[in-house]
Amino acid sequence: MASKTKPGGKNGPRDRSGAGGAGGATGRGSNPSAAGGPPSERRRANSAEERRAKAAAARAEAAAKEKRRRTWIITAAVVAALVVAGVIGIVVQNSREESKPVVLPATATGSAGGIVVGKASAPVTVDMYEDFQCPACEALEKQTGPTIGTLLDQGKIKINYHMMSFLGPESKRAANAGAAAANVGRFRELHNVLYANQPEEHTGGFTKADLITLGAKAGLTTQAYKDAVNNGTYDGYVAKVDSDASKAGVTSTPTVLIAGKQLSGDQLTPAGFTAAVNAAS
Amino acid sequence: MNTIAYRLSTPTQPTSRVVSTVLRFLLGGVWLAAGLLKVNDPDGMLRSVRAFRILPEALVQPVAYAVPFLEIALGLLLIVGLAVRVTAIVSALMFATYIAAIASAAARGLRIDCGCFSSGGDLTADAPTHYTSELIRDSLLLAAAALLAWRPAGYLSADRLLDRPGDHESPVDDRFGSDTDGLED
Repeated sequence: MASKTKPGGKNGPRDRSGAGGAGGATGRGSNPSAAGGPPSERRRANSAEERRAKAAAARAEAAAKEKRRRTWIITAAVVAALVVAGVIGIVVQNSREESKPVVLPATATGSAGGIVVGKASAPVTVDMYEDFQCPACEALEKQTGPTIGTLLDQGKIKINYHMMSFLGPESKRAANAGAAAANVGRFRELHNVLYANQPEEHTGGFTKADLITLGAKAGLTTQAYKDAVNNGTYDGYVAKVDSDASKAGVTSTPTVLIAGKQLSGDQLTPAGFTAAVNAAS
Repeated sequence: MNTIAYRLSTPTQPTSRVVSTVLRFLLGGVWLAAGLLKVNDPDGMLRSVRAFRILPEALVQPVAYAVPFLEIALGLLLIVGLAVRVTAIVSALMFATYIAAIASAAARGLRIDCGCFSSGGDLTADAPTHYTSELIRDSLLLAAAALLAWRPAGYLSADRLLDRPGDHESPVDDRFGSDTDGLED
């Protein structure tokens, strides 16, 4: 509509009767008195008609203009609202994420805050990225865990444990308990107990009460451990380990690096693991 | 004249308006659900965005935090029916971005959950990926958004309410405004 009326309104009467085609022609043809009268009369009649047409075109154009203007205002407002929503999101989530203080457990002396298990003199360093709630990690621990334990005891390897926590709040609670155990040098004990008692994924397992009960099985009976579990003392540390691992490009758990080289899936067997350790030492 | 194609493609036909309305509520609902499921898990969203390994680290956090809110805002605007064409175009652009991201992740062999309706992120080693179904779903949503951008006029929309007074007022009133009219009287 806008595009039709615009040229008529802009270019004036002469263009309208000419380019308007049908309108102009029928107007002249259907009015015999005007068409047959003297030239001056015809001009006057035409100009009256043209003025009316011009006014109508101007009104239509103004209406179209107003509609366009309104559309633009609404468009701009909606786009601005979307931008504002995004900015609010950044601000709200940032304030919500107000990071808890990072309390390092005593044995978190490995690279990227990893919890170190094993003899300091061990020649080969293993980096393990696990999640206490991850079933694939549980499978690895069941299959290869005993071999890993033997290698640790023999002093052939030391392990940097990076306990990730992306499988819900239960992951985080368990990782916090793991850090509390690491603080008193009992990480490996709790680690093995937790994998032996892993609850189903996404069922809200590893409650604080569970973690205190399981902790007792790993010899963690102090009030300090219970307080750390209940207060989430290491929540900040747990979050940092998780985000550092994700920034380091760890895309799944378990991820195992022996002397910095990532093991493939079929190297996670007892034989594959032992071979990789021997190759690195 | 009243073929199905005509009814669907002519904006003033009730069928076209009904289809447009249905698409609008569908897309609005999808955005609302997607945004609300993600908004309470900023950590997961962060991990999910990072897992695609497309954005530089400096942009991961702003994008991860902004997107769920943007999705909720789009959902609300679509359901209310304000500036439907604009919100439909923005929706289509977002779906296109998601499709590109998922396809690129699939092509690079990344094992990630797209995080479309929840916190995504890295999958554990044995978890299945659903790239194909995710791509099909997002493509359908993209088509719906494109269709809605083409025919934004439906029923029960704020756009329709806003349009109405303009249709009844005389254009002259529009041009000079009602306040000058009051003075001339």
